[in-house]
Amino acid sequence: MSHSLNESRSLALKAARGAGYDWGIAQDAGRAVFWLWQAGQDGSRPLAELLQYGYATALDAHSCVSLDMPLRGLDKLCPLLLGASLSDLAAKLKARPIEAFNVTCPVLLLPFAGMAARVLNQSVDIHIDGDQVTVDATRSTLRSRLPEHAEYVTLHLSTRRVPVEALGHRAYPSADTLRILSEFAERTYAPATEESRVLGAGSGISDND
Amino acid sequence: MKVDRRPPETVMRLSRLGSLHQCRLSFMRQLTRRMARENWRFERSAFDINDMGIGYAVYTAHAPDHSYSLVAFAHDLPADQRSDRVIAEAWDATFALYDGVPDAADIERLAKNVSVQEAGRVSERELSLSRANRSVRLWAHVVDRLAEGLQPDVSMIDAVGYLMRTTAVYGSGKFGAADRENVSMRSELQSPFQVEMLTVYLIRTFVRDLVQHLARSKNTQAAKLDPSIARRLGIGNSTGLGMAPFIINHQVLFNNWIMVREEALARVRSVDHADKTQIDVFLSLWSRTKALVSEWTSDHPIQREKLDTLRRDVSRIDAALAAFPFTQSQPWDALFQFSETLSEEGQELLVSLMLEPYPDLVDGLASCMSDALQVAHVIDGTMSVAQARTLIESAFAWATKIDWSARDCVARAWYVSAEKLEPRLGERFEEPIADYEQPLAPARDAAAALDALSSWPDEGSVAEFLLKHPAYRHVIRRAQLHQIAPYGEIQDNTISAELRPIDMLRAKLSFFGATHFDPRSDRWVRICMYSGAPYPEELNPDNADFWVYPERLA
Repeated sequence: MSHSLNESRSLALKAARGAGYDWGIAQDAGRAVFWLWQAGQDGSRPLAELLQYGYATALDAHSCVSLDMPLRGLDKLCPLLLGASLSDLAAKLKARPIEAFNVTCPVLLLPFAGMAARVLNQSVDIHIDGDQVTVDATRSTLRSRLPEHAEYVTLHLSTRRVPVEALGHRAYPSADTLRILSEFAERTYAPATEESRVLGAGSGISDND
Repeated sequence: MKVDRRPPETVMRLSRLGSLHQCRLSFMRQLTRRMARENWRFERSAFDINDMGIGYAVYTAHAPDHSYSLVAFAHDLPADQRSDRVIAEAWDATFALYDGVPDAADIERLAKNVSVQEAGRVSERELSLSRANRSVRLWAHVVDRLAEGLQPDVSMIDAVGYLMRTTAVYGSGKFGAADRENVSMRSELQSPFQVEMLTVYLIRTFVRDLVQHLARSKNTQAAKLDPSIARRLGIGNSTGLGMAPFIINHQVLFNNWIMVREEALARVRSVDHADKTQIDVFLSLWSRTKALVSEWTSDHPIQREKLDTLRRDVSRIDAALAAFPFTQSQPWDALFQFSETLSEEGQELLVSLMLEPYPDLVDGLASCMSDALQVAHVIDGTMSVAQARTLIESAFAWATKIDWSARDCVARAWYVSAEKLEPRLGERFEEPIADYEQPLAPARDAAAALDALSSWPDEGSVAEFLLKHPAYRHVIRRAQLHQIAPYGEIQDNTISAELRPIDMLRAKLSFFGATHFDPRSDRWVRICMYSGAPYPEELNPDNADFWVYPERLA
């Protein structure tokens, strides 16, 4: 059974928030999952894997110590936080490559590189250990699965063109992935009380009129 | 002399947004004009409903390049299950808008899934999912009268306004349906909410046919519902809090709606001289507007007070128009200046009406009302801390007087309930909800971000700030978007003890083209859609536009 991309985005946003990320990062997580499915990759699975590591409860350890190159953290870098910094720093790519060490679920960096490509109106090459992927604003050349961890990642502006293929318009998350993301998403929902049923939503008037 | 748009600080107050009226940019009217202009063809290809009112029907609208089919399921709903709330689990009728013409397998699949709504799944072939409940009193009246060979009582029709009201119309990817992004390049779906508006338009036709069918089931000699009475019938809609977060979360989209209407107003106010034709259109629609206002009723104290004020304004406008010098230079600007002596309800009524005589100045703006770049905004991390501060201060200048440490100013919190996942508004200090709060208080968050930014050096970058303060990422995003979307931010406290969410609902619903706003509480409103609209077999360019204004005297 397929899902719409907006369902996948919405679930990803809620799951990231439920895992403890701030709203702005959770919004980026939703956009990242949408972007990956559109680019033909399973975006939901790597997010589910990442959230299970629980990095959001120790952000200081898993985000960059500073924005000085190469980027590194005290512990493995979270690709959502690193990705956010990458897209924030997009303009700097014009001057020099961006490098980062020790990154978890590096496939999640692709959408942020895509955002940089959109801002710069130029494709971006990403080297993830032995793999090389080119992305533009909406597509990537990735056709295989990337490893779950990368020791060394670099991004630089590229002159390569990403072949123009039809964008994906559905998501096919596995049952396992859905279960994991849904469990995180549920943490954003307030348990219902009878009081909130009546007060929180409004009308206690009969609708049988 | 070109008149400027009204500034956001005037327009984006909740009291004004909660006083907006439909206008010629409304999404329903965009659709009916297009359907008539492009000569859409309509057909009812199935109507397999038994004497108990159970079965299904298919209505197809053929646009020039695509067809869209409403697949409607009619059910037998026990009275005790009839609820407008999103937590309901059964309805009088359920619907999907199918992209194309469904075959038997599609109907079978939809029968299983559509009737259970959120508990089912639809596919990328479906563009919307919706449901409706009968207005019990009007439904019984119309069926009984027709079965007796009589026409229904027009005063009852007008008192209720509709035979069924929808309680949700889900589009864009909800429950597995196609994403808007997949179809928004089609010219007929480029404007916002056209899928939803088409769904409701076809539902209205189905409901008219169903009530006729059930009258005939009672008596084969039942009267045929008089088309002029049928035309008075709209489709109701019952809307709760779900719409309120939408206009905060879709900052650029909401900006585009408001900015387009403001640009339309500025263009009309800038017109040097009004022709007789234009003045006649205005005055004729003004007299029809009075009928619309006089037929608008509500039992809710807030709306009753607003209606009393509006009716006083109507008398004042009447008096002013009787002697209004339309021959003066920039007459619409002069009329606008007069409108500023009225209540916000009255002002916005006149503003909407002033756009009517000028389709050439106004209608083309409709193409700017969607948000084509919804996922495209990327934070500019190279922006300096000093610039970010200035940006936030300017976007939220109106909020500097709010004391965010005062309990009344943060009395409420928006959250999503575990039950049916509906948005709710709770009392922060009385319910255990703060941990689940949604990011729907941009001004409060902006104040907190400014506080955090105050200890950063001016020349530092936003990227560096956000690295250490990811909690303010959504604030910086909104502030940067504010540069391109100055009308995207509601300039009122959305978590204060005084907040009336119905103002947010009305702002959105007015752009749909809704009329007869009838709040059921401060966070729940019923409205009417398509009342007065021609049915598919009647639709033509002559009646496709002004149907919202009743052709009867007040």
